[in-house]
Amino acid sequence: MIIWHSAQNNHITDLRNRLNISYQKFKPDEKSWTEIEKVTGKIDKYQEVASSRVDVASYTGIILADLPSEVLLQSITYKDRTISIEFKAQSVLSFTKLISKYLKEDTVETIELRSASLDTSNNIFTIEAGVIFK
Amino acid sequence: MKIKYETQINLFLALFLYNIVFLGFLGIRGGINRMKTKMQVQEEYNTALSNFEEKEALVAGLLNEIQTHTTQIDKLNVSIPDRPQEERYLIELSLQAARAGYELKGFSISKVSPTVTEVMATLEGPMETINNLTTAITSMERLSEIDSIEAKRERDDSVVVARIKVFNYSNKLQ
Repeated sequence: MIIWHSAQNNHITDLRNRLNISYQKFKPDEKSWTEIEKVTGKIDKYQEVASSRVDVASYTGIILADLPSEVLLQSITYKDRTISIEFKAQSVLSFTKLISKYLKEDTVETIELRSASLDTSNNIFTIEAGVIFK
Repeated sequence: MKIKYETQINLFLALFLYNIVFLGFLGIRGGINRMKTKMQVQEEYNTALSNFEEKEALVAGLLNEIQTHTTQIDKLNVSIPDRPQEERYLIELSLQAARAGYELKGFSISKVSPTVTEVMATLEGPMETINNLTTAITSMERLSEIDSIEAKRERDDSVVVARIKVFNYSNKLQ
């Protein structure tokens, strides 16, 4: 009987110790709350920025995808959902095909033709356009 | 009065048997009581152990969940660090740009607000892979937003100079 009680006491002491450890592990203190508040603030900020930021990579992807070899992209600029491009082409057909391809994209809202010139000595067209995304 | 010898023996035997029965009864009662106590303690222990094991399983599940959350919080701390840590951002940008075939040529950093810094990076690389560069920048672990890009073919070859303005977010400025 004495031996049995002693064993039980050891079990209960062990149980209490394990409970104490568990309690200590999960007892929230002031520092933890500060950390939780900080993490919550970061999550809010992350969600705010991630949901509002523009996917510029997808825009440049559309502009540069399957660019015909006869078209030479001179410059590309991005600002406020608009990509401005300047390219050179030897035929108007290449340029028309390119504009047509951009217009087929769901995310493209408008294409503005800003300027076009022809270098008669080399017979090369230089075109400036603005691709405005939705 | 003289009691017979046989009667005396019978009397002693009766007394002896009575004592044995009486002491035996006391012994059995004590044993029963001890057994009852033992069973009660055993039952309490079993209940406590069962409750504890249930809670322990719950805690193990929570610990697992905490581990997952800790990993996510670590990633969040990389996305939005406590301090701007722009030097880390530039190292990472330089590595990512190199993968896209670009070389970081220069940069400037300025404070926009208590939690936003502006990084203007100048890079050189091929026009054909500028999309890889923008993809690399937007998929970096640090939370950033491309504000503007200017890439112009400076010479007749395919090399372009790209100026990219990026906004980075942090918890507070140093």
